[in-house]
Amino acid sequence: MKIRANYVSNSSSASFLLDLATKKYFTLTAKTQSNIIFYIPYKEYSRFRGEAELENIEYLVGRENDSNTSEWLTLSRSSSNIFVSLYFQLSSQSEINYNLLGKSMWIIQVRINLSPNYYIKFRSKKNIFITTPFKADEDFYPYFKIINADAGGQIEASGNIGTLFDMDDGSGNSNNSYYTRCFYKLFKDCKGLISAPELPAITAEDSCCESMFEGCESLINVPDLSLTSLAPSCCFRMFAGCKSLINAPKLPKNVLADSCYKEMFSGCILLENTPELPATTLTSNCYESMFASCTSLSGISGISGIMLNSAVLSPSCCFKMFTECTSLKNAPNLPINVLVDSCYKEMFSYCTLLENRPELPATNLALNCYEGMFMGCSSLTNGGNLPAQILIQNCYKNMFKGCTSLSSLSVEFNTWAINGRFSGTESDYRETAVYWLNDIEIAGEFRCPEDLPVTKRNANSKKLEYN
Amino acid sequence: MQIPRNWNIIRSTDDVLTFTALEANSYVTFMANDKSQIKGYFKSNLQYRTKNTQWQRVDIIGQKINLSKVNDFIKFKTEINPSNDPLSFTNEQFEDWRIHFELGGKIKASRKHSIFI
Repeated sequence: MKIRANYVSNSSSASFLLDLATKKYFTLTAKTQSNIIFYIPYKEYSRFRGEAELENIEYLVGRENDSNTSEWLTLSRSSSNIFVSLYFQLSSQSEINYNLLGKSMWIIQVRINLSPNYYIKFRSKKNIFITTPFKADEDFYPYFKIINADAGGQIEASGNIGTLFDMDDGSGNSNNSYYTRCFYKLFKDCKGLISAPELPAITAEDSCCESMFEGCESLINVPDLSLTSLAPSCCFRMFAGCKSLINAPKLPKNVLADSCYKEMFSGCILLENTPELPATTLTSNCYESMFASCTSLSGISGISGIMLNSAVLSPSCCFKMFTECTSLKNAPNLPINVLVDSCYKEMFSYCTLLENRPELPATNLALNCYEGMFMGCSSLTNGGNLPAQILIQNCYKNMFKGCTSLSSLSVEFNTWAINGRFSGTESDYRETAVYWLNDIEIAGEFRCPEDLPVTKRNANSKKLEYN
Repeated sequence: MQIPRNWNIIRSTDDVLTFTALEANSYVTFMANDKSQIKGYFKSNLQYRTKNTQWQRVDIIGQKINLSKVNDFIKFKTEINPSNDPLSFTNEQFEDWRIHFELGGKIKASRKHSIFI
């Protein structure tokens, strides 16, 4: 059953869906003795007004598999339980007045000590919620910290995080949406976090989940994203450094925004497969470094969108998308014929097991389109054919640099100096014509048109050889 | 432009069959018997380009390519991927399978290395 909860503040109102069966609480459950601090900033930058409003939050304590629970209680300084102790304090002995750009800021610490198998549920009453400072500033945002994680503290988060947080940024425009930076770094570096709460919103705003679970090295279970619209940087580094994550969550199907998934799974060293990414209209930097350093990644069939002729690229859309994916052996076909600036720049750089490069049939190139695309791919042997006859500045810069096993390549252009682009400075020439097949020492074959001027690199001289 | 010092340079003319018009209004038609294996092979492996087009992998069998001006040309090549060996006709049982070119006008054919053997 779902109800629509509403609250009215001044002239604005906000609402969101609550599923009474499963989504009306936000729950922290301790798997081991866990000491947690929930930091909440307030004043000036926030519509949250501190201690007084904190009392609008209710909590309930219980033990797993035990039907006996406490009553819903109001959060207060004296909240406590024999197995769960709760208290909050200001950042130090007294209120610290953070002076930031002439604004004042205070931080409440809600300290939560959970015995093993005990849980605490939170909900808001009167539909008043904790509000992230919506005048975004990196220094002030609510976040959790498991202070004994290195000593074994482990918790599971479950339920609807939205029941604790205000879904409105004060503009009154957000229904079922996460507003700008609302969960920014919420669980960042919670090394003892095993499970993530549900994220049921359908509309994202800028950076709403940026770095939300970054550095959660024990995180195994993550929720699917129910979003139907994305916003710039909405999932930027959301799961970066989640070293235990094996399976990626389901992502929205067909919508993208600039940098929406940038570095989203960067450093997830156990991630084995990409999620489904069927979108065919790509946005700027949308997949930038999305799977960077995912050293177990070998299954990439889910990225079907960019494998279609109908895909539309944007600048830097796949920049470093799979860089340092050292288990990746086969690359997907990239059939797009019209490229855009830096679209595939360093896309597979340092994929040291990559044996087969994708089909690259494009004959209409763009600035830096293939720059460093296979740089450091030390298992790549066949460079295939590059069918373009007209080159664009830096299109092949460092493309095969350090491909120490490369032994064949075919091209169909007959000059670097198209329209004077490479007839300028020595630097222009060096960056393009010289540094594209460098650091390759084994024997190989280079196939090219009859009239293309070609020289072999002189190992004993750094002198440029012009042709 | 530089390539690794231990690499050999192979000019594409070594692997391309070129027909060049020596007089206006010449033409070339690439023909193959209606054997699906042959046609299928060339459809997927044979590429061609003319003076004003880039390499393309399109079924050209039976299409008349007009070389309307002197020095217009059509070039044929097969995939360079070693796994796609050019088709050979060495087995007698395939004697009825053949390809040929129909030429019109005055045309020069040039190749340094067969694309078909």
